[in-house]
Amino acid sequence: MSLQVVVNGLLLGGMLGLVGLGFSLVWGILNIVNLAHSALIMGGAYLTFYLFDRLQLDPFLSLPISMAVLFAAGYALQAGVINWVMRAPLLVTFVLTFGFETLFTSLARVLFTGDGRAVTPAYNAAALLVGDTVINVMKLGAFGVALALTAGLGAFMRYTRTGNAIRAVGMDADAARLMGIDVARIYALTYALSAMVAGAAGSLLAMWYSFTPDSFGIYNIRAFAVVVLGGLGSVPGALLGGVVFGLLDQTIASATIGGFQLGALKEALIFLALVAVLVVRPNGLLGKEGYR
Amino acid sequence: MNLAILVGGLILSLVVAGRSAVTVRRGALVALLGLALGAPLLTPNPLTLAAVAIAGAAAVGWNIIGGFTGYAAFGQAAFFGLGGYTMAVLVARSTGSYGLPAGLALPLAGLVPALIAALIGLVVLRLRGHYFAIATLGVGIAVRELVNNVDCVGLPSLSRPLFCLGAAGGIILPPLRRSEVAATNLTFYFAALGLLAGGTLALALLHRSKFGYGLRAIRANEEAAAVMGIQTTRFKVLAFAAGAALTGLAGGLQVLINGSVLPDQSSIFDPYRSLEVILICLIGGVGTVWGPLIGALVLYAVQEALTGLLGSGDWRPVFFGAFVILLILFLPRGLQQFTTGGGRPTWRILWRNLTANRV
Repeated sequence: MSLQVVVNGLLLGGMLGLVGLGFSLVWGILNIVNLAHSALIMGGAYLTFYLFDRLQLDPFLSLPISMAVLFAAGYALQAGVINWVMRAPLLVTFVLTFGFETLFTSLARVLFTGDGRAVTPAYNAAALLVGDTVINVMKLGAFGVALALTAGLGAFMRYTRTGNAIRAVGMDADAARLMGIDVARIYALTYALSAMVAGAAGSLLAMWYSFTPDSFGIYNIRAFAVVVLGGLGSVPGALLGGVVFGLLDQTIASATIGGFQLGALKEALIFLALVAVLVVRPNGLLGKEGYR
Repeated sequence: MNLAILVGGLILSLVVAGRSAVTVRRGALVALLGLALGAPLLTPNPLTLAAVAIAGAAAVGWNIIGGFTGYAAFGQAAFFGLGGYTMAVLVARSTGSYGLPAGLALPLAGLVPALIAALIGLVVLRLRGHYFAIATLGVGIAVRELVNNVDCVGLPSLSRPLFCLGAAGGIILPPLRRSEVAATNLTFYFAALGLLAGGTLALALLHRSKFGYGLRAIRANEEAAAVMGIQTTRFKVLAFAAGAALTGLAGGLQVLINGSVLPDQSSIFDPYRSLEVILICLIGGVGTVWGPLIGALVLYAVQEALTGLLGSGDWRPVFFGAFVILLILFLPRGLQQFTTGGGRPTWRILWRNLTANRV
């Protein structure tokens, strides 16, 4: 494994950790596998694109805007709709969030068209050269933001009253209610936080790759992989899972066996690894129940 | 015209599945069969109706594992695609294929996915809930990607390959003569119809068999079922394989109609298929005998109506998404709530459904 592969894997891993973080939060606290997560990421990406394209706003400066917008949207979605099915079986919440994914993605296809979009500020191609390893400055910045957000959310969960209330609801919603916590509001807040992080991930990914409304569906699976690898219910776990995934991804992408590019089978291979992990450790590598 | 046939079939199936007097239900069943057999006379293109039956048959497959057994599988498209590829390899006349007649090949289009599902099932059926759902979602993606990248597979000792999947190029079936097309379309329609009818019959038999009771016991409480002496692993793997067989048969038929297989997103491995089968069962009633038939009729009637109103443009999936959301909020148990549940469809029931699971 060359140093370049490691660097690429780490940078990608930080991003994927951010992608998985919000997913892990909703899964851990609300017990919902949120298939609309990819659509929320898409929302962040398009916000950043239009702010850059129409107002020439630097993509890093559009981050707070897309986070705020997605926070509000997430709160409305959970409080207005998903809270109504919180006690329903798994299949119901799964299909409901799938319905939102279809709705948002197809709406985006109509409103934003299927044209490929890219956010290309002037420093787009700037790179550091360490030895013979190339580090793209923009990706490094995105990586830094991803780390900062992960640390920030971890601190919020651990050190604030609201964060503790969220964790309490994740451990036992009924007991939390008896302690005077407004569970419906905490659910909405948790989903909003998850959407906010997804929005940030979308804004950062917009700088990373060019995209269409259909580019984001894959992030649900990636988020799931990150959560399984890192363990459901841990903020540092999401980062760890992201880094493991990123390194795996980049290693496979650059490997060949007898002239055959392994990258063509990337998703399949990563998924095989994932299923193997699941079978050995059904709750993930570092997994425990609930959000801690 | 198609819309009228679908709605007519829907009304009749709702009566058949409902709680009217036995004679009424028998009469409705006869009328339903009559409508199904006579439908090609009424429509210019029986293939659009064949698509409904194929979707219904694929959904019957999901209903065995997802409905009866309660394991929410999200990768049924993999078996649809595998059935399709099996059919293509057996029927095509290019290198690495066998040129068999379609009738001989069809059973294998069920058998091969069933065997593969049994192998996959031994592993993924150890998982439960969200983990099983996502693992099967991953199986759907992984199978597509594998097939997408495999050209020919063979043994060094053999002069010709065992089979060729054509990698990203897919497989093209021998074209039909122009004179054959109309008759063949009719054959396809009746084959699809037979598959759906046979699948529904199988569900009815399963519903009252010991195996079916075992599966429902697993759904209700797997530990308790095991304690009662049900070999849960064997039951689950069998259910998974049986479901894959039916979905695979549907896929095999679809490939004959398409005349080619491409591993591409929009083709035989379309991941939307995985969700379509679930949606169909949700509409008609998960784990019920008539659910897949009713659900397929509703879903395709809605799509037909949407196409009539909006054309086949970009707005269709928008309304489709909205339809799914409204359905799951107001009618999470599907139309069976009105047929077997006995209640009359009223606004009040919809409201009660909405508020039942509120936090």
